[in-house]
Amino acid sequence: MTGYLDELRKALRDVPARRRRRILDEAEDHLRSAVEAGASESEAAGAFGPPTLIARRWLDLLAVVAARRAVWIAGVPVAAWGLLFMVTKPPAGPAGVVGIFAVQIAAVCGAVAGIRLLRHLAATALPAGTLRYLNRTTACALVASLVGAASVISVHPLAGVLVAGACAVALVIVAGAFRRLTALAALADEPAPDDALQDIRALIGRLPELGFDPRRHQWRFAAIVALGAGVVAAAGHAFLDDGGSLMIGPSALAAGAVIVAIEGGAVLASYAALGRFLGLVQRPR
Amino acid sequence: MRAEALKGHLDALLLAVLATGPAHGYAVIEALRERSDGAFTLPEGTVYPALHRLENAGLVTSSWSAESGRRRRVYALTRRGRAALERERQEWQSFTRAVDVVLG
Repeated sequence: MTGYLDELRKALRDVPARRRRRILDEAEDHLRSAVEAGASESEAAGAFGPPTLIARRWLDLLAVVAARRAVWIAGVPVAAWGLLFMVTKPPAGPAGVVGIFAVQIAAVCGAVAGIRLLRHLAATALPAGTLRYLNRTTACALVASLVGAASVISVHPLAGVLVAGACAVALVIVAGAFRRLTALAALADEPAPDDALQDIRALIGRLPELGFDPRRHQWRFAAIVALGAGVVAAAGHAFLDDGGSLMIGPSALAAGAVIVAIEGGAVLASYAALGRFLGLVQRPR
Repeated sequence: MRAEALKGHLDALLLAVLATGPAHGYAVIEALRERSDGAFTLPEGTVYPALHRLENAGLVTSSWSAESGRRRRVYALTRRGRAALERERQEWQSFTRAVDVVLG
């Protein structure tokens, strides 16, 4: 029995010490109970299962807990960066452009991670592909928020440093979730994970009718999103620039057209660069 | 029955066993074996992560107790666990009814 428990202890080396103690205590109690019921020590150990299999099950469980916790924790600094961006006049020059990109990337990554989390909120187990997706999108939202917060340090030193620091701490937690996942073996035979559109469909039942399949015509879908984002950005700019009056004149329309082109182009470029990484682009099934 | 076939149903089976009263891990596995007439045999150690998973989800609660000088972790169903079991029962019954109709 001692030999088996030693093997199990070795197999559980990636499990936190406190949890490992509890697992080993329960395993020892179980084996003793089996022996008291008439089994031999080797029979009891055999029925309990191979230590590597038991460890795999525990790592599965811990990876789910770590990924979920990372998304919840990351939500705070990402939201803080969003708020900071909204109340801050962007600095002039490249730092301002970085901030504008960073807030949008953080918003998209945070949204797809949040939607995936909500979709599987009641699930007690999740496939490794889903966990990888959660960790990846959460990390991406945090990196974008960290870069964004750093870009406004020149205008808001204290808030910028605080938000960037919070992002860095949350990134360490996400790194822990990645480590849990890496500790899992034999992930290669996992089925392909769902994409963001499937998450939305699972949550709201059906997607708005677009007249085409977004998964089959991904670039058409991206163009619609880009145009929508451009119009929203142009309207927001006109509203803020005119002190809330939203006057429509030739110069405002020209400025709006430029903003739609820049914002739309940026969305399309981001889609091309990050779409597959974030599960927004996937081959038709 | 192979452990693979039990995958996806194990949580509901564990909740059903615990619905009869609190029990420690070994007793839960024994009850599972007895109530299934030995059909449900799986590596016993894999039941513990499932019990912890149910505990994380708030469906089961656990605490250490001392029995004949030995510390044992005892699991008990929570109110949420009871509700989840009821939902699982209803889903399973409608699923098996549909399969029965198709299979004839």
